[in-house]
Amino acid sequence: MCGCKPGPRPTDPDPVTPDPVPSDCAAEVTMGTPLRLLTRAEYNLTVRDLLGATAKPAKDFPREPLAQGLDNDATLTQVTGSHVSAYLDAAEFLALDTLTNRRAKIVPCTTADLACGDLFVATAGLRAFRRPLTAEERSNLNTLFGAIFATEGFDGAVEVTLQSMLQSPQFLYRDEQALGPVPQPVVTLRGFEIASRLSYFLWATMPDDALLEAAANGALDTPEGLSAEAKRMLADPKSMDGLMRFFSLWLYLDGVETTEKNTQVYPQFSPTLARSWRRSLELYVQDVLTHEGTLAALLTSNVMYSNDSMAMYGPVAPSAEFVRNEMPGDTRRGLLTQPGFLAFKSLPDGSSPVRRGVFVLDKLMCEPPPPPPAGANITPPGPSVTNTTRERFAAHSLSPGCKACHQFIDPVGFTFEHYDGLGQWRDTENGQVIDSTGGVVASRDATVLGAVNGVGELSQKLAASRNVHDCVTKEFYRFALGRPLTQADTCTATRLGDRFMGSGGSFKELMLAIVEADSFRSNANPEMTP
Amino acid sequence: MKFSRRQALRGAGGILVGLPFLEALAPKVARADTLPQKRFIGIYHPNGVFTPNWFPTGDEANFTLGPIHQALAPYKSKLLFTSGVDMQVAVSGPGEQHQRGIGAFLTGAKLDMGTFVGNDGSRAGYALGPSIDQTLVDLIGQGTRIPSLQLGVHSLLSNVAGVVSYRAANQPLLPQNDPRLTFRALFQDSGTPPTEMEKLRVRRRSVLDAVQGQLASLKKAVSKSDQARLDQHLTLVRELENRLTALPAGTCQQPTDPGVIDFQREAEIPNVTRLQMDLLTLAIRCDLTRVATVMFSDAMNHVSMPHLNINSDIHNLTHYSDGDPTRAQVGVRDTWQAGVLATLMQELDSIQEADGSKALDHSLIFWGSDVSRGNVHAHDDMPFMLAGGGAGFRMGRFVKWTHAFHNDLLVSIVNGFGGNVSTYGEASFCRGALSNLV
Repeated sequence: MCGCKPGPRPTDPDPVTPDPVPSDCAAEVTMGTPLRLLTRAEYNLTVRDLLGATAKPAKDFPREPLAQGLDNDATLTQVTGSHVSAYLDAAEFLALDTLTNRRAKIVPCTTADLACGDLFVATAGLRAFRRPLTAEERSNLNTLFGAIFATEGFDGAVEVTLQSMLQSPQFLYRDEQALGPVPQPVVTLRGFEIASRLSYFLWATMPDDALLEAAANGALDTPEGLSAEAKRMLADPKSMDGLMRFFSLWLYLDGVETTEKNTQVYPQFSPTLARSWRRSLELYVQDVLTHEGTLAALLTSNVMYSNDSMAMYGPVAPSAEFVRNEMPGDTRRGLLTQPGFLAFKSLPDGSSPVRRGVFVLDKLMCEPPPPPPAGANITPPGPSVTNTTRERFAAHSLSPGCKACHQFIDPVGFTFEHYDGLGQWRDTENGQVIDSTGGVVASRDATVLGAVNGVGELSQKLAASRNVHDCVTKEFYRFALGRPLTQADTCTATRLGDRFMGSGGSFKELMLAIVEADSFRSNANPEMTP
Repeated sequence: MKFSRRQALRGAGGILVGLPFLEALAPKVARADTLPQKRFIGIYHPNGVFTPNWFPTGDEANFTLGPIHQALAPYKSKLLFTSGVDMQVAVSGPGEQHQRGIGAFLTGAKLDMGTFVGNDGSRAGYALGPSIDQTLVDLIGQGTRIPSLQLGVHSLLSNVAGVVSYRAANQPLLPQNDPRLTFRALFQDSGTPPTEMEKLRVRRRSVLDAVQGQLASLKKAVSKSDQARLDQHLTLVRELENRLTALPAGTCQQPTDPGVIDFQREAEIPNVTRLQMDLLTLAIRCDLTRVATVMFSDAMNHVSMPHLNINSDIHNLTHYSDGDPTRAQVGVRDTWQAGVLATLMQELDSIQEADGSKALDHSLIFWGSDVSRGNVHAHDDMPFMLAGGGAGFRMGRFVKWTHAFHNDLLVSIVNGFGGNVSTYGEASFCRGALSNLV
């Protein structure tokens, strides 16, 4: 019935650690990444940089399908009628907004004639399409420009031509194929193609002028040149955008923001509090990335951000403005003890050892328990005024069908029991002293096994685990490539894990390692690969 | 004169009171020279129903509504309940029961292989065929500003579990969940003066022509699968261009924008429901569209409904056995849903056609789910309900079949709107149109 068997955890053949690593992973690109549609987040940042627009028009676009949490799997994305009409809306808004408020950002000359129009097409086109226009593309746009110029004059022509650029596939999709007229199974990305891939990975936005320049003069076509450029970009504040894109998805911050609570149990709950949870968690991640920048720090930092809506967590903040607190004692230690995380990984009327435990097994250890069998009654035990959550969940999971998996999930989840469904610290529940003992019962990584008391101790073990570093590495790598990983990606993933671990778990080092991997600089032709 | 006529129609409708954003409504000016338009509305209701309170009792012509359907009592003569219709096509194939069921509901098709993870960990892609609403667009929707509307109320999944409408195999039409954007789609240009509108049309035609040129240009440089991607994009751009440039302005004056709504919050479900359904009936009243689907949550349905005092995950609630009092909360949700349909029927019954008949007589509402009973995830004896006279079925009945195929019901619906098909969706689950409907 259930994939988990009582007794030792059945461990899948380990895709990451066992075999000696070959010295060269070069020939391993076997799956192509198709044209990559800009995600809503990428679109918003791109028009910020292209046009100076801060309105985030993509908020009204259809949401992306999620591939195990990531929004950029190019094999899943698909344009629909809702997309094209939303693109039109956004383009009409952005073109007028830019021309009215930031004309100089896009109009490169003052003569207001067709020659100036052609210059506008070439310069704005280069930035919008992230590469020089082909003769045909330039001619298409000049024809449009000329037609509107004749009836509406210069500004009308600029507005309409910009609308067209913003709805062109060359803008909406990232062309990182380099397939050329004669298809080859695997190609090396050069120049503007690798520039675009680099920019959207590190910055979640279009290349800046320096990167376009580097693409044009061939500086990105050697590993050394690409690496140097990546280092420049990682030092730029915009690299926080790229990192936060990943973490927003990995933690599903959108879900944190729309968490609901039963106000009969938690009268303090309000939508404002849910929004504060998201912001607080976001600020926490940013704080760690800005300071230590490591996975270990993410899992152990004692920082917590709060505002006036979060007084129940201790620190007093005078306003809706968020304040950085370094929390004394052991009550807030790491990501897993952040109020937003805990409240999200809870039930509407109580904590949830299951949701919290599954997050650790799935997102941190990449050893997810199988989902419950289809017919199983998976309703969690209801709230009680006499016993503890731990007692109720333990009893609930006693039946053999449930126990098969819950014997692995619950002991991890029970270590969180000092935090209630809002993520508030508690020493007792219904008059009984909280028992937060537990730990990881089975893992391919023996270092995380063993009894702990409280999620703080568990976090210490996770923070030092090679397996946890490998797990995060794989997700980051999948995010960079925009496609599912296959067995053929194992070699590269292992080497990336080596560098991540070797750097003390530095996320920027991990990003640099991904950029320097052969697979990042290559793409495969979907028609010519298995 | 136009104004007084509008007022007269409005008075006849009567029920617009209490819908503040419809204040500026100008109902469709009925055209005496045309027959009443036919309409189709598909309603998706997730994870089956509380079966004991769903099915009527009695025989075909002489039946008593179940507790869930009491709000529909005034329209009993316009309802048709089914018994013994199995969604057999959803019993096997890629995906789990909810995925397969929602995929098949309006398509009669199986799912593609894919990577969307279902509730039990199995994986699937999108449905492998068009949905009947899209087939009906060709039969009854031509010439409207919005050929079809896909609306959602907290149906937020961008995958197979969050969609019922398909243009074609693997071409999902995800629902719009934000009433503000539904409003925009319907009334985008209705406030634009005619002279401005003409300029806008010229501009859009030029812009979208150029976009099509750019699509063709890029196509030369990409892989075959990406060429197909760009071809689909090109078709959509062409359709958008036709829609925005060729059609006359709508016959409705613009109602007030509903504004920003926190549509992702469960607490807003009743509010979003009211706005989406109001906009839908307004679109029909104004003949902006004749085909629509509305999804109430999605097939994973991990929502609670605080406005009904249902504070736990409804998907989980559907798993309890029928005798368990906890499962009865599913019936509370079903009853609320029937009330929403009653309001829709009331609205359609208030729209008077040129020949004196009512829009409800020319509309078909098809209410269904992904499974019949959530606690066993079955696809037999599906809880389907049809309402209105649109397909020419004999209504006011509780028709009992024995293991009839739901695909054949889809065939009947399509043919009821003037189609001429013998199969719909997966042909091996088709025996021909259902007996005893027309």
